Amino acid sequence: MESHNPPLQSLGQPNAFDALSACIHCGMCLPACPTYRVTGSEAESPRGRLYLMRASVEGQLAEPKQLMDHLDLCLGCLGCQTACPSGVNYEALLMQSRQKLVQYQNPVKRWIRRLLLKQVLPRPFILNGFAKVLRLYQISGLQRLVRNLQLPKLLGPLGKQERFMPQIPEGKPISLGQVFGVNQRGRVALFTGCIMNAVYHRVHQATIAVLVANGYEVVIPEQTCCGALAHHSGERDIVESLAKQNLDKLLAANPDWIVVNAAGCGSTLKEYDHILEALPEGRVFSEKVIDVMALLAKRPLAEPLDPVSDRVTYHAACHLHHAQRVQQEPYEVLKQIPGLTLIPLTEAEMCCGSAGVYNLAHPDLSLAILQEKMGHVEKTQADIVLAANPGCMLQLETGIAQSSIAMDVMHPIEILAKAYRDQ
Amino acid sequence: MGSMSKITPTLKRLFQRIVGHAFVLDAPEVLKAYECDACVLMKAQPDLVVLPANTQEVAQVVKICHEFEIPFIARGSGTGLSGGTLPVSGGIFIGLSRMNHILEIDPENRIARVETGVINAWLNRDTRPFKLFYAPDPSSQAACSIGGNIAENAGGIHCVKYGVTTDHILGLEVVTPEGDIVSLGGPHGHYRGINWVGLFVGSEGTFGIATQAIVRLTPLPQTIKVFLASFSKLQHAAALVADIMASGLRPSALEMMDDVTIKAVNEAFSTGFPQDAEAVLLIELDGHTDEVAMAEQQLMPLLSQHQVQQLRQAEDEAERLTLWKARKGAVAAYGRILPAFYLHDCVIPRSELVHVLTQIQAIGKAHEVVIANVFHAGDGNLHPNILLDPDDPAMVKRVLAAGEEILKACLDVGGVLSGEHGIGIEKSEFMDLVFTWDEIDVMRRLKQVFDPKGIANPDKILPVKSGCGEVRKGLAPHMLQAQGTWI
Repeated sequence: MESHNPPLQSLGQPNAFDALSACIHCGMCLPACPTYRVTGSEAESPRGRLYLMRASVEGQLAEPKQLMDHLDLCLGCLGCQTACPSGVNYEALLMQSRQKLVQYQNPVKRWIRRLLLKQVLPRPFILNGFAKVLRLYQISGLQRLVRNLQLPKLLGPLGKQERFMPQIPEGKPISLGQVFGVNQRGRVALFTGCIMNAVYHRVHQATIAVLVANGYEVVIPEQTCCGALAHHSGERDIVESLAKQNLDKLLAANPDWIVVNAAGCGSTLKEYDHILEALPEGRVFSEKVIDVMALLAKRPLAEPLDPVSDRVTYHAACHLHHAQRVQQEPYEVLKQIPGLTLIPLTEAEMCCGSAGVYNLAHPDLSLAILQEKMGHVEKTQADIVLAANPGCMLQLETGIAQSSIAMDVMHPIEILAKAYRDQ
Repeated sequence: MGSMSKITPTLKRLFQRIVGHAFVLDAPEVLKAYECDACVLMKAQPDLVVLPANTQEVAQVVKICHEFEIPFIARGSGTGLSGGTLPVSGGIFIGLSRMNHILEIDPENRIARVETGVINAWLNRDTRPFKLFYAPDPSSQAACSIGGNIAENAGGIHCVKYGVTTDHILGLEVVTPEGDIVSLGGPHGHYRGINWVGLFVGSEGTFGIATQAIVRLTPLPQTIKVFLASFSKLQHAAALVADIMASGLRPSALEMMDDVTIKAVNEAFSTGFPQDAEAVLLIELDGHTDEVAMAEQQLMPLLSQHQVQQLRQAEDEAERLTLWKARKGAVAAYGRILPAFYLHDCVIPRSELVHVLTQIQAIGKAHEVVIANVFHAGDGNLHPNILLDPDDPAMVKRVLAAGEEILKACLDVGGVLSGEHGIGIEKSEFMDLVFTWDEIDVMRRLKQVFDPKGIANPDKILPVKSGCGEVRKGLAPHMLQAQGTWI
């Protein structure tokens, strides 16, 4: 094919895509890829995407769109990276490609997205205010009215997205600047995140309670958005600026650990060493970042633990299992809770289709992926499905709302908090 | 690449009407992504990809192909190694990737009914709770489809004891090249009359498309023990293999890895195989606990006769699974050394292992290529992987030359072309080295019975007879064509 506009080759360092050569085209990644599973198309598989990246680097694709279309559909779940025996660094290649491809996107859409990433997400009061309005919409009965009138159907694509709207619970987001507990085992800074704090502040309360019960002093320093969404969209300047702010603010609190209970945020915070490669503190920062379940797995849980009689199953969030490789720790921690029944979930580590705002950008594909997940979840007949990421929690709630099953969605730390409820 | 595309907009619409718009793919970059499977040396793009959801859709698509004489090729996960799905004369792919449902597991009768796009490893995952398993386990098990296994009559690590795919397929639902749906065999295997299932398994998609299979399930053994023995010389390991098999022992796996493989695997899976060894053997015994104990007693004296450097037993199930995962991921782990590989698949008499492995080492040296061996030693099924960089045409030439010499060395000692990867397009031109032209003609006539128009995976398995004085084409043309360096 004639090459008119090689999108990748002429940009960046010539060796930036050398990592592509590690792909030996064996196909072991295919069944681990949610979009391949749903579409059946080689071009929506990790092997296919890597092949197209290579074609693009070699100038064999006529248009940037020919690569962009397929990378856009990638959830970034990194299931392929866990499956790959050859050690292909898919994540790095995907990020590099997206950073180069953003310039070819629709300028209006990009401008709106950049505005959201730069001006809305980093300002908690906007998000929290929006959550309040949403809660009003939900408790006033307006949502029920809208849904009963089948209005979402009239909205076309927007209607599909209405289904992914989070149910906003009672209570207030955690305010910054507070300190809890006494330092016996260490001082930790809690990263609150945007969605977690706006929608699931109860998870933060549980996290603080469990950490305090386990001898940690918990501080909640000033901070901003982790930049995950900007990072995954290839908007490098935005993520760099957010990373720099978080680095200064969180390190100023002088913590032993920076504790995260949102897998997506945790994985991005751990990458600050690459994102801020020019700053030596980037590495110091990233090494301090730890998921709350991984921190608690470091030593036996503090006694006494009350029995918890729930029947639970655990969905392994991609950005915990695949990106951070925190795989066994959540099970190790949960197994210490007396009375808890932990039911294995088939393909626990397959993506649920949430993937940041993927469910809003590609609702049909996201719902198809969710459907596969819900099939396995239903079979467990658990009372509660656990997930350590707000995006997954929202997605699973959508899945349950659409099905006939009655199941709660919780963060694993909330089950732990139950075991410490009388303390 | 194939001839001019026969796919008119009208035909495309017909396909779309059958499977839905989303599942007819013809964007140029999508066709490019389909241009090769797990063997990157051979490339050809299909004219169109159709992804049906069920047997009826497959049949309707094939009917159109039959009517308009469009070549069609069934494709599963694209993990093949012999170019078995390469559309060298153009045509369409009928991808079975969406037909991936396990329809029924019947533990009482020890069978399962599956769509053929089901991934081999999923079947094992779902039958395990019933203490049953599907025995053929190719190394690509985590990704390859049952349909692909049927086409290639795939083997695997445990086939030395349990047999290959054909021993485990009881019945098939097949769409014939004329678009009819037929049932071959059944839940109790083939009845009287011609064994159609036996004929179909291993036909590499040239007789039609299997859309569903009834497979035999085997009870999981009570006890499994895996031993890891390392050797300072490849030949010592090979001699032990021959002796084990001659002794009457029936190991459930007997696998060999050489030094290049050991290093790649250690890096990929942290297996901790001895780095200074020239070979390791993985020996698995399974069965009733007493039976395994007796087999172990028989095995130990053999080991002591064969200069074993180090002997280790997998401590627990976790370690055993890691060892097998490493073995099965070995070929992909070569990506850590060079970006591609070219892999042969000959089977030789086990008594010739020492001799042929020595020759392969010499061939590698003579052609200055890296050869990594990882193979089903107990079956005598060699897998010499010649590692390469596809962007280095001189290296590719040396690799192909070494490959051809290895193949001939194997045939010289009475070996066969392929144990489990199939003939495909890669080895079809070598068929006359192991079969007479009369025998090949019988195969060709058989193919014509099933596929009178010659549209089901054309150009595969059967060689084109060369005229007098014509130079043998060898396996090189398709590969060198892909490299853009015709001779």
